Amino acid sequence: MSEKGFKIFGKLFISHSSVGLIAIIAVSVIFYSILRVALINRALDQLSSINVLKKHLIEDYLYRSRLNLEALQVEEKFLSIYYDVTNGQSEDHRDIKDIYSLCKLYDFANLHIFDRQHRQLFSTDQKMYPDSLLHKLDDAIHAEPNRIHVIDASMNSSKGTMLFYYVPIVSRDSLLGTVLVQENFEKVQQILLENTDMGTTGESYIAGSDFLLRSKSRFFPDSTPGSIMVETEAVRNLMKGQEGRGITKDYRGVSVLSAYRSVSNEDLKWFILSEMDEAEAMRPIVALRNYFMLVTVIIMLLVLLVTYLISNAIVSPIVELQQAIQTLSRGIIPSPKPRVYSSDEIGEMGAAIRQLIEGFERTTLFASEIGRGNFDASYVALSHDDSLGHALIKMRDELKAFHAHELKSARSRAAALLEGQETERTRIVKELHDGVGQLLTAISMQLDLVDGPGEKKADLKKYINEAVAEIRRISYNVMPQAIVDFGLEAALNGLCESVRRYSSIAIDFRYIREAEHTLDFEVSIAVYRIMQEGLNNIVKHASASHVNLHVLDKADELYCVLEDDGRGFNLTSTSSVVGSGLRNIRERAQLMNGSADIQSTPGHGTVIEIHIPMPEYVTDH
Amino acid sequence: MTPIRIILADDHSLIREGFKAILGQSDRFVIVAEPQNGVELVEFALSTKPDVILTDLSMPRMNGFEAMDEIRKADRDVKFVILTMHEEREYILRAIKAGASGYLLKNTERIELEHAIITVHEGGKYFSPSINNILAEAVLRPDGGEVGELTAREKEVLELVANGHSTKQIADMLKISIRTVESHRINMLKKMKVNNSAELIRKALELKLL
Repeated sequence: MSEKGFKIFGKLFISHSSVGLIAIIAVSVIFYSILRVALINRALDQLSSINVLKKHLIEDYLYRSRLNLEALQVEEKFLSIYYDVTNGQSEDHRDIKDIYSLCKLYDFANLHIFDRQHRQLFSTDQKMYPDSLLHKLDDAIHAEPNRIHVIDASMNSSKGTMLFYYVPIVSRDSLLGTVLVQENFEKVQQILLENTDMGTTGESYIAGSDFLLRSKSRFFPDSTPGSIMVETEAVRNLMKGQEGRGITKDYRGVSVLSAYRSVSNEDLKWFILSEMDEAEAMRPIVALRNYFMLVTVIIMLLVLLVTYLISNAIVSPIVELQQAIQTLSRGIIPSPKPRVYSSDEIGEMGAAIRQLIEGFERTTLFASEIGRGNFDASYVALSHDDSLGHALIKMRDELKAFHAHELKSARSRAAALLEGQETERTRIVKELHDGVGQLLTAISMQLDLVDGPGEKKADLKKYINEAVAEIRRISYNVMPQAIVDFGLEAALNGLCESVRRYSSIAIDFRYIREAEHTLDFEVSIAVYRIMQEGLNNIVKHASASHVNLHVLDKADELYCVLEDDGRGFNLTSTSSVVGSGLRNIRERAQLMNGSADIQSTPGHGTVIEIHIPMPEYVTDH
Repeated sequence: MTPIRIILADDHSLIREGFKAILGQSDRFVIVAEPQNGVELVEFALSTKPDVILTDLSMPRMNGFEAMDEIRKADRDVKFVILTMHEEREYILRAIKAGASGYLLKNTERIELEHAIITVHEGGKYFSPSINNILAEAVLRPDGGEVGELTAREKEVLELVANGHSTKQIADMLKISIRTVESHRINMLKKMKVNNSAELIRKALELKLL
């Protein structure tokens, strides 16, 4: 494909395919974006509902524990236990035994009883609590020491989240001691971990206002929750009192979908967050995206293929036409001619170029015909303003006139030459015949008058007669008197008689007069010379036994046939003598505007046909 | 015996001298005039009223044939003997048509010449033997006799000729060469013993071949 063709092809290809590709990519991207947003919203909805659920479950749990403790307080269970303990009752005491049952029943981890001075009076385990915890506890309950508080003591612990219920032991409005109930945080943890279909990365967790994790991380199961910082945007929003959802970074720094709320508790400032890795949430959309990309690639390939085919279909006729024009511009007629594919503009262009080529072809043919000398070549101008065509026609006409003039003058020169020749021959014959012949005859006559031996005189007369006969024969060959006196028929007759006399050939001579006219001397002598030449060839070379010499003297033409049954010859390899004889015959005929057709087959004789058209060579009588 | 009065016409003086010498040997002949051309011959012939005119055929100003025609217009009785170099059939026939009673070649012996003049003068004809041969051939050429049968193809050609078609048209119609058409035509002319197509058609109609 040539450079220009490629350019058009390239343009078409690029424009078509880029439009297609842009459309596909745009549609894909829009679909992808819409689906992504929808998916994210859906995931966030899900997370949000999980988040709400967990929040309520945890709040409920804490509230129930508290209600239970209040109920125990109301029935003064702890007061009676306090009295039992301070009164030095053994552990086997019914009330004290009840404590274990209560812990089990309400699912508390531990239960401790202190007096007002923070001295431990009783504990369900042997653990001693640091003073700092108790001081903190004092600080927390300072304002309202007589109600139940929930205390987050995680910061004072290295063993994970510690949640305590502070229950005051009051008797007649005076604070006697304190009950610390350690919440079983495993229950909260369980609530958080409860199966809520959060995939492989989804988790709900609790963070405190100190940006530390309270619940166990799904991702770091061996780490103490308190050692993990959750200083994320979500927690900061929660600190400002803004609950919400969105895509954000979690404590691992991983991009997650997050729904977050505060836990409603008058004592605790906890936040519950439900999150899922964005990557997992996006997994369906990633699959979708890959699918989109695959489809895009396939459609892209299709678009490229279709574009290629369309571009090719548009460009290949253009290229073909362009090549045709280029070929034409180098003066070569394109072969094959460009095809016309369609009826659109390109098709019309193709038809026009085809027409141009045909015109060019015709003009070229015409010009070459003229060049070859065929001035009868015809040419129809391509249009009214076909200047080249008109110029060629004018050239042809002028060449034709020139050629005709040349031909005419050449012919008249040749004719004049021949005429001069014939005139000269006539003169020579006259001199031979009238001079030498008559002189010899006179001598022969005078011989009769001379005295001498008769035998001798007879011999001499015989020689003289032979000389006269020889002169007559020569004269007849050079110029038969008969043609001057009686015309062609008599002359040809004499010629045939002469041949009969001097050879053993039988001649069938026929002169058929179909028209009442007298032939010009010019035509007569031409035909005579042709037949003389032909008979001469036959006598000398043909070894013929029979010859037909037929002349049809018709109104429109003179037709002559000279045929023999001799040995014939090969026209292509004829000896120069015979060849020049045949050439003479043709030239003589052509000089009379006629034609000579010579046919010969070795072994089958020779036929010479002469056609000489009449009108211009006939003098009417 | 009155000598035969002769005019001797020839444009060659040597020939005239020769014949004069030959004829002068006998007193049966007297040469009354020796014109050198046809015009003189006519003049002398009309003025001298000769018995026999010996004349050449090829002469300047007026040839022998023309002179014979002129003289015979005025004098039907004068006899002509041609003395010529020509021995072609046309000359002989034409001379006979023009009214010649004798035809001799110029190399004729004295005896024969005298014999010819006397024969002609007495109302006979004389042709030397070689001339007789040519005459016989000429008469024999258009030989009469039976008319030949035409072949089917020849009849076909004949019909087309009769309908006025040209040779070229006939050749095209029958898909044969021009030469074949012409050779059919010539063969028909031969067979029907006629000289041209018009006669051929006429004869064919007579014979109900068309």
